[in-house]
Amino acid sequence: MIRDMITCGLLLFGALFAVTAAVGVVRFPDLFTRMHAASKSGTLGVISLAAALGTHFGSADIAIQALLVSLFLLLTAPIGAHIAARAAYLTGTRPWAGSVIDALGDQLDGRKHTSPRTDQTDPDETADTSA
Amino acid sequence: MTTSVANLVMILLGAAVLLTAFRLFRGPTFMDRVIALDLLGSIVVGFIAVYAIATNQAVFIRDAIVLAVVSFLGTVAFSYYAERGGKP
Repeated sequence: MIRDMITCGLLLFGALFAVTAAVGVVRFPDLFTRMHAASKSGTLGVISLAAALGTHFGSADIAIQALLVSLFLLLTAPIGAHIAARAAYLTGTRPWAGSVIDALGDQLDGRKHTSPRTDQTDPDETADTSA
Repeated sequence: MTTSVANLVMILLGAAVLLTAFRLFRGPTFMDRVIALDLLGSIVVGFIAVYAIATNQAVFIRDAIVLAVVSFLGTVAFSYYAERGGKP
């Protein structure tokens, strides 16, 4: 009974954070803030759902596999977000005009970029940057 | 009780998938679509976990592990592709 209540609490918590991440991805003004919502909030939500799976079945076998999923997500979400943000910046995406700091831009100033900065998006897609 | 909560949570996650799919289709740049796809993969991993609870079948957790690996590799591959300027 207590275990069912813990499972339900973890399920609702995880769903809340997953929906928050999705709303953030739709509503935030630029790519980097969207990535912030997706990687942090989404990872916490999915880890909570995996923990609910571990508590629901209550066997060490399943709990270890759920822990494996959580650990993998915790390990790969920052790496994926970092690689995606770096690729976006080097291909010419700039932060929203309201952001206060651009640390990578300061680092890259006056240096040769390691990657070719090319505009590879369609012309009709680049027009909508303030949505 | 757990089954009905799991059904409710699956509806909520379906709404999250729809919102993320909106960004996937709309997203102005290529990288917007990549991060939307990354979040979509994460949400589907969570959906599989909830589905395993709702149907009481623990074996689905292995699908979640495989999908998490493939989703991460997809993000890395798309980012690498974009950083190379569209050339493989």
